Amino acid sequence: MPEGATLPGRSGIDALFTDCIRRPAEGSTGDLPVIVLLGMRGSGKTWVLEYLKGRCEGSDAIPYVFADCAAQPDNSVWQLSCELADALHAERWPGFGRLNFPRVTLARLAVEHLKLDENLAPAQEALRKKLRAPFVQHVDPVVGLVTNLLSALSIPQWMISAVVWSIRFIAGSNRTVERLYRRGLKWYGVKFGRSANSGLSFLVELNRRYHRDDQRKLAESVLLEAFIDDLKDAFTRRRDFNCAIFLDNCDDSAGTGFLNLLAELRSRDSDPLVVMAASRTRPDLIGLDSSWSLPWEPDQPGKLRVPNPNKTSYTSRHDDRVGTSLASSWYPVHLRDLTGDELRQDYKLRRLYHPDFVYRFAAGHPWSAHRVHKLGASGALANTLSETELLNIPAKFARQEAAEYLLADLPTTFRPTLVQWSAARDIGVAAAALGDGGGDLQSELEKRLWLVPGDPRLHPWLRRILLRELAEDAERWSQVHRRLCDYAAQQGRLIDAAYHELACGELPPVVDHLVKQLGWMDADSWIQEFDAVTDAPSRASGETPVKRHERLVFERGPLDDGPLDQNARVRNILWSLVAARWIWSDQLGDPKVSLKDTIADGYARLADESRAGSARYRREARVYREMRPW
Amino acid sequence: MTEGQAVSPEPDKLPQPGPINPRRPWYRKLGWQIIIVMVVTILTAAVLSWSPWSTVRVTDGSDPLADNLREVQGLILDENKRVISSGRPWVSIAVMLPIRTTDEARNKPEDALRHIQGAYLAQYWSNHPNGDDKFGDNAPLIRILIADTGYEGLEWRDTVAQLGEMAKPDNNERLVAVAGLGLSTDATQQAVNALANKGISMVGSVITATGLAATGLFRVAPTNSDEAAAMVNYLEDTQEWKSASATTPYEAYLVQDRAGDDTYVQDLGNQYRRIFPNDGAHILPQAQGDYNSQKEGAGNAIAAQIATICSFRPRVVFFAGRSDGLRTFLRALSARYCSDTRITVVTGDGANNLNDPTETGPLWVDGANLDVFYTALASPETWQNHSTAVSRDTVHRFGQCTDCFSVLFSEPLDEGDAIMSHDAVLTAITAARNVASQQNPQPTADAIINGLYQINATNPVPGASGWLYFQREGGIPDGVPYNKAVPIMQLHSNGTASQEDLSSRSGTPPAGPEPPR
Repeated sequence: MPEGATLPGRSGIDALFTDCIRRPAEGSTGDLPVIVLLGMRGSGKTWVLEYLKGRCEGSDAIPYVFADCAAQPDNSVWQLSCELADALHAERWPGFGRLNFPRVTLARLAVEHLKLDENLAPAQEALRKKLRAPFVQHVDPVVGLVTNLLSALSIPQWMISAVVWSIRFIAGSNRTVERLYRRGLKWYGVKFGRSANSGLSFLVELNRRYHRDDQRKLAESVLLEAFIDDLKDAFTRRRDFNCAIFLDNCDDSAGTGFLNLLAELRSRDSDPLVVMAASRTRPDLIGLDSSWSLPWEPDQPGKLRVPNPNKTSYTSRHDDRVGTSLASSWYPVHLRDLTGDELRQDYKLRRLYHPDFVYRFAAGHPWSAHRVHKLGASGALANTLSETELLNIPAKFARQEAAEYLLADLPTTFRPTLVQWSAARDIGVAAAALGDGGGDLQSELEKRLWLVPGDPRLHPWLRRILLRELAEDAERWSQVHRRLCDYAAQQGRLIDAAYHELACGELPPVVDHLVKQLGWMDADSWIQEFDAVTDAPSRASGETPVKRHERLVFERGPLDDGPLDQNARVRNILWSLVAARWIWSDQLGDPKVSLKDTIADGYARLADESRAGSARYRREARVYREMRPW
Repeated sequence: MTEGQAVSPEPDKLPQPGPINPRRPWYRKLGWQIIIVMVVTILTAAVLSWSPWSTVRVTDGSDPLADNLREVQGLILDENKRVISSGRPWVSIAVMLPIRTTDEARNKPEDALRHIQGAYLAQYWSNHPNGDDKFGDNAPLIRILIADTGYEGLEWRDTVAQLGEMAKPDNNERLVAVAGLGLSTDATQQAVNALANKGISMVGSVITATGLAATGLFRVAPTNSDEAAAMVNYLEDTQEWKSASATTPYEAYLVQDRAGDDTYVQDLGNQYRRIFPNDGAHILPQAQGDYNSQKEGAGNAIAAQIATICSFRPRVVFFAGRSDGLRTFLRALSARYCSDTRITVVTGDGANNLNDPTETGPLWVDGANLDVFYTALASPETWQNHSTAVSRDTVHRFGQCTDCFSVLFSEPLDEGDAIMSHDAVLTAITAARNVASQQNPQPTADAIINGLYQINATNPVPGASGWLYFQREGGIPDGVPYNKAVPIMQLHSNGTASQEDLSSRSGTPPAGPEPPR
């Protein structure tokens, strides 16, 4: 499938799945990875699974099942396995037929709703009775039918009685049970018992394991092995495609338990199962953490970096196989945010408008990019609304719905600290300057995949939401930024200090700092520092961006009447430029990018005043000038 | 458009993703199933059309119908092939009778054999009047088809249907008439009716029942009425008959088979009763001995007649039954307690089947004081004893010459079936040739009736059983031979028979073509 045809930013996963589902995959050694999609809430994991499920839905000869582990968080591995078997069995798959699970059925009959006696003989008898039950219930209708038929044929009554007695005898005999379940019993006997005839004894043992908490896992392992072997039976004849299992929210206990047992079985033998799992936290999969590092984690020997969707492929997975045989079962893929191009492509496919505005606002976070569009609707996002009205839509969304969605499962004790941390540029500084509030917040953020590469930083969209919450309390806002500013000053981190001073609305020291830097830095470095400082967050003022800019410039005080020296001119230029860029950099502060020309003018004037780097400043001016208002 | 790039149905919905392995349309998926269904359909149609399980009912000799017919069928097949390959005009005449039958049936396998032999003789000598390989000048040449109506003639429907098709003017089989037809039974009547509905002319060989009639049905055997009259004519010449008076009457008794579907036996009894004078000196009482040969216990019912006969002591017993019943009756009579009184038993041509010396044991014991007479349909003895009653030319072909009956076949002629069949086919051939002309040398079935009407006293058929012609006179039904010769046969206790006399309805049979009147 061509890159980005229907799943922008995720097409590598589609290609990987397609390679795995075909039997045998090109270059395949026969074994299949458990593909684990990792991504924070709203990163589009379920979309990817649904999309791939849709690809199977219209296909011939591909049995598949979709299960959301979070839908029934109390499920056990046993229940999940049974649900998967039931779902696969329920369909008559086009071009494939029905999948049957006789071994799973036998195990379920042997353990569910039945606790067997400790003594073997009565336990076996009770089990036989249980195994007989499914077809004994059909005996009466059969007897009725046979009786009517024979009566209609004028067969003597004694003969009818004999036939009825024979039916009941056959249905009730031990031999019948063993004949009906012969295949399954033999499998349990050979695989786990001492001989082919010991299947029933093993099922008694399985029953005991199932009902003992400390041995439940063993029973689940047996069931999963039965599940896999039943599945293999269906693939003994020529099949062009494997069976697919889509397991959403696999970080729930049933999901991880299922996958860990599967990996254990796969370390011994291959199977025809393509598992595509998704997790919103780091799942507790054996060997995953020790073999793979996420994008914000430093490189470590023996660990591979979890690829993003663009860098996944069946071939590279084989090249990248790592760690123990168990760890090599996993193939994690990190669902990063969409790039601007990817979001544009996605919006085009969905026939939505203004992807650039949305991208600036939600930083490519897939769920938010679509939710904010829904709230705004295409008309509202067009130029028909005033800036104030327009700002209300995403601001309200960020403050309410997005916050609730993204922070839904964060323990409440972490939230106040996290809100404060959002003020910091990276979480290392936040932890050092503000403390962790008594909990291991950093680990919590790592576990929830809420970080982005760099110095580990909070995900920008999540940070914006948290900053909105912090901004609601002006005093707290100033207090937190002041503490961070002081800490930065102590640490000699001048950019950070200027950043937080600007966040507090204090322009003069920031302008002074930048004027000073301009004197000795080259143009590129200065622009970089200027951008870093003016990226500082600001509290919403309720003013339009132009009015706010005018107010901030006015606060500088009236200009002297006489001609200004170059320093004064540069300082005036930078004052306006800092104010404009600070307002502009907050998408909620300048939703229509109306200050882009002010910034461009500032750079142009700066170029006029600069002896060195004027060309670079003019180029920067052009960038802002040509910036498209979305 | 690449895979999956469909336009989404509504905003914010991704288009339905393209399938990994698109489903094939049902008609492509079912490709090989459709081929199988078509092949099976074609095979089924072919097999149904071929119908290997269906029984061959009509054949030109190429399909073996019965083991004992193998030889004569081969002769007919060869002659048929020669006829077709001759390039001369030809027509087909079917010989229809029960062929796939058993010894227990009224129509026995050997009856069928003799019929087919007689038919072949008529065909051969009609095509080769000089008795050599060359075809004669008479047109058209004759092809024989053998048509089987099954056990007791009950399978006649299929046979008649096929014959009906063959008799259509555009059919290559060129069937013009059907001869033979079997015994006088209900099945024969139904088959005759069906053939008549199809406009096919028929010539019955051994049909004697007076009431068995249909449009286009002609026969070469005398009716039961004629047989009864001939027998009474014969009895009238006896001394006992002549000396009878009111005080010493000539008493008769009728034993009657009441088998419902046997037209022959019913008719025979009726005709005896009708012909017998009952004039005070000759008495046939209304009381009669009945039995039903189709029901169990028929033997006991026949034996029970003995007590009545011994108490009544008639001079003559008319037996209106078939040969099996007659055999039982004669054995019962031979053990009667009143054997001191001589009894004469007379019956119809059904007694022919007892005329078999190979049967073990006598028909009655010596001293039974019995005389048994029956009217036959034909007897070879006629050819010696009554030379004017038959055509010498025709008799010749039954003799010892090459391609004559006695050389070709080993079967005896005493029972008369071969002779009667020969005469029936010869009559049909004569009719076909009567309507053939130079302009129309190949008549259709429709025309044959006119050929039959042309057979009269001036132009009789030279039958081996006697001169044959049809003349409506004195209430004689259409298609019945006029005053047909009836041999009076005496049956002996050892199963042999000898001709006692030659009679007819009038008492004197025709003696050859008569000048036009």
